[in-house]
Amino acid sequence: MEKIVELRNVSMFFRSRSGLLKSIVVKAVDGVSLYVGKAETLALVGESGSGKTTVAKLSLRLLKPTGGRIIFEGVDITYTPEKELRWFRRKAQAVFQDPYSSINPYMTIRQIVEEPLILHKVEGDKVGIVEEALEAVRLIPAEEYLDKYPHMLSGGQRQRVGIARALVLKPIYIAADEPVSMIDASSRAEILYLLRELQEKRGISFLYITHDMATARHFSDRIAVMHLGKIVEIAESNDIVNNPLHPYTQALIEAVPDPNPANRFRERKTVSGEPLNPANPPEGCRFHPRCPYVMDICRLNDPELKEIKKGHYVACHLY
Amino acid sequence: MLKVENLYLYYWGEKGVVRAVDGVSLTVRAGEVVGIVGESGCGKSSLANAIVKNLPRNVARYEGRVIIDGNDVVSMELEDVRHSIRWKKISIVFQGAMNVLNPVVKVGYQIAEPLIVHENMKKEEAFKKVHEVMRLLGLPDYVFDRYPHELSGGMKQRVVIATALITNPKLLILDEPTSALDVSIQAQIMNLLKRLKRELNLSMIFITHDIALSSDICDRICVMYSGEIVEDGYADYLLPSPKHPYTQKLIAATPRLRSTTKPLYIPGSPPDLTSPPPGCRFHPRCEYAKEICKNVSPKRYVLDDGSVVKCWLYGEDYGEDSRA
Repeated sequence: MEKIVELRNVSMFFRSRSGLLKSIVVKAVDGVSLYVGKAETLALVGESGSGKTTVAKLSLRLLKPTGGRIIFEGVDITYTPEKELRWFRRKAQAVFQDPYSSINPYMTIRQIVEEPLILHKVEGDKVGIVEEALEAVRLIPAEEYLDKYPHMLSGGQRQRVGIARALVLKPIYIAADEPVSMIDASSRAEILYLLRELQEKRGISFLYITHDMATARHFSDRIAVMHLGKIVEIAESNDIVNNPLHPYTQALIEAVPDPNPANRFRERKTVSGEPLNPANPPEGCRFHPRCPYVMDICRLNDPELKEIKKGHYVACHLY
Repeated sequence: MLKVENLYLYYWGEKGVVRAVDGVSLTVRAGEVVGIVGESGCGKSSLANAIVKNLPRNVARYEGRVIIDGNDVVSMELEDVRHSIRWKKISIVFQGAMNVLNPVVKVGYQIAEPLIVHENMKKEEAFKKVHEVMRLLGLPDYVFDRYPHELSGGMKQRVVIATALITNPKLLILDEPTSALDVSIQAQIMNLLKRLKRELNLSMIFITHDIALSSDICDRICVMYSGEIVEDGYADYLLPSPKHPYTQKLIAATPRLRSTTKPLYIPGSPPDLTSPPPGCRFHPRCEYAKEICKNVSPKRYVLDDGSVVKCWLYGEDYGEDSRA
């Protein structure tokens, strides 16, 4: 598969204040390798503090990594200065989590969606392009929405404005960070189907950042599971759900209820303890303090991501 | 044990009267967990507040009956509700309560506070009770002397539940108790609630936006839409065969991890509580909507499996322009 975005062994360390004079290094992302193929959706699933949003920002080169390489359409953009990145900025876009704070309440829908065109000095019929983008996200008829303000729209409609803004420059890659976690349950799937449809029509590649394994299964081709700055498992979506190999992936899947009245008569198997602090990860495998299958080697050596079956990678000493 | 009859709670809002709780009736029996499931803005948190008479200043209408142990909370003086109902009979864990623990008071003291303030218990005695409840909730003893910022989210949520349980209430109301937690911690808290239900025979009202999560603990489920309960039924029947078109759609819209069936969605969005549509409030989004649905609010029909459905599809009144 043609790789659109690729992260090769990318790390992102932040310096964080600790107390009055001390500072500590937080390894938010530590040696992550992944790619998003052409017209593919890769879901990046993880709990809070796992570093999934940092990966999204790195893939958009909104951050310069501490180490590793970021490749976009075969071009190394790891340290390319901003001035020379204009082509990339057109081709790679973002959709954010909160449709209430990610669009300016004082701008009309037209101004919001038009802004990228102005910034990138696109000539021609801007209103036409804006209308086309609004129609693509099913804000129809588009003319009726042009002069509205965000507060006049529902959460789902606002999120579609955010998607339209990402579409006007005709990107080939979109990183969507929890795009539906603030949308009502009854409309969540609508937004995800819309993204899927845009992908089919325009061949866009998506990085879908989420904490929700269930939507990841239904709306992505592959799933990467992230834990404390590392990818612990990556495989095709159905494969990872039906046959999770890493104990952390197994625990995440076990924790998700499906609507079933029998659930209330049994306790879920849970991993003990809490997600660990990324500022202070344990030695060896970062999951070992919570892992039910922990062995001696897990306390010493950090397992590498290895291909166990075709296309199914896992970082665990059990395999 | 708790009987809510025709409860109304309206607020004055910027755009007019907000009809947050609009004629809600429900019953919670001893040892039963009842779920209130609905999307954001359907009035489910307002319902919880209305049950314990926790009212804001801009109340426009507060009517109906909330009967617990022969007392009617609605008609009681607020002082009496504070003295004899809250904590003693009904405790409530508000949404985000774990974020409003007092940052400068040790956690053990905060758990003891209801006993010292409301029951005038001696400190030593109260602290002994705190340790008992902490053990019940799986909180290690050292947590007693910790401050909230030293605890993780899951621990703080346990502390909040401990505070609610310390006075031995008969009914615990939980408003989205796991919505701020990671899924692995959510599963731990759900396991804890299941154990409390089993061991203490505690009654609960479990409020959530997630119908899949409600199936993890609820014996009965009330589905709320635009200030009204549109369906109230036993989980064993409601989840596999929902009756109300909204419940059917809501369940179909829930993505299932263990199935290849893709989730559906409901076109449109829930109505604004200041100006709900006339007739059945779901009719603009309902594929079965008929003339009567647009004009007349549906009656409540009791079906054979014990469920109550507020939908014309289940009555003869649906009549002339019969089912398509």
